[in-house]
Amino acid sequence: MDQLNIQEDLAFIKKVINDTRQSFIHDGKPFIIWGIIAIIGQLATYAFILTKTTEYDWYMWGLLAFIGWFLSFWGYRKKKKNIRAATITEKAINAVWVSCGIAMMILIFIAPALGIYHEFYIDPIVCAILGIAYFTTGSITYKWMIYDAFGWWLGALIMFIWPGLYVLLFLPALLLVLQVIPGFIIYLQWKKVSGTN
Amino acid sequence: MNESEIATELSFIKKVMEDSRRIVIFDAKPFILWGLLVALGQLVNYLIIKSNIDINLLYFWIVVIVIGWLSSYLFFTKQEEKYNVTFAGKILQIVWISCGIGMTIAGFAGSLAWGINPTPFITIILGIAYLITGFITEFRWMKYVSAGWWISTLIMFLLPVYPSTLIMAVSMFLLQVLPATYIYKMKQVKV
Repeated sequence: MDQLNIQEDLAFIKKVINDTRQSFIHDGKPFIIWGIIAIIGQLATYAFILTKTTEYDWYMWGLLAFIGWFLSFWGYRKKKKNIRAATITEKAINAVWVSCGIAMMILIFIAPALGIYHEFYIDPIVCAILGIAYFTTGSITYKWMIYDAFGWWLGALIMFIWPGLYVLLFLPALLLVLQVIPGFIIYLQWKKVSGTN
Repeated sequence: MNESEIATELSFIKKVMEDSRRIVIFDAKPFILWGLLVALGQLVNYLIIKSNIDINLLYFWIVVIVIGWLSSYLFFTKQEEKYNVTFAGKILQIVWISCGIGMTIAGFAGSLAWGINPTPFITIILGIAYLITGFITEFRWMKYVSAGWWISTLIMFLLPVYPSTLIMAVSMFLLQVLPATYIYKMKQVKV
């Protein structure tokens, strides 16, 4: 092997390393699933409040959270079977969403159950946490997600400053625009790249 | 090239790949600074409330947070000049910057708008930051630090502002200053 060949090989290896660690193709499904679940939950809570049947609220959220985690776990297992070892990017993204998910579960279930904060106050802090998740994901992978993060933080500020019943309609609108639609865009990109039907 | 030379080459390449992926120059100075700053701030906050001193706490915290952000900015600029920050290192910077923005929004907007205790919101975000850092650096003990922050969140949820400032000061010392000092003593840590 002469010097030139070695240099060419090393350049090739370097390129492969960079591609592996920086490219990240996500199917966008968890964004769509969790977005739709949260929209259903928020609108149902709004309906429960209007019809004064809030006693069913926590059962519904428990069921929705169970469905969300079950589908996420099932999807993760399915994906794990088909792919090679996780890259540092994939590991980081998983860590971001798992940790933000746990924090949001504490806020959504434990804080109101202890009678500490009203649901109106939970939504803005959930938005602030989603901003963290989107900013980190965007900085590592899809750059446009950084704008998405600022959308979440702006939404959090609005709801922090003006709390009220409207937040139960405002958050679903944010979820649709900042999570479900981007999730579909990612899904379409993934389909195109992976060639799946 | 014989078999032994090929093996040597491959092992070299493997090492380069591992190093470029996993080595982070993890300097704990900003963690120690933020920990001391906030712990001290919480103690002063506690004393101001206890002794009924007529000081606007909002202005006090604006000064504390601005000092923290400015020093972090100066530190990271210096660090980027000094080291070739790796990909994993960049991810860690991004995680802490985004968590910092989230904490600033929750801390100021939460207390300003509702006049309620914002510290549990800050500690819940610190739990997120430590769990992600634990995953990336593969410091297993950091995951316990994260759990510690979430337990302190639950304790603070149940307490009014006045005593929870003290819990926050103690948590900052135990769950940030001490672990960061430990990392600092390890100097340039290979993770």
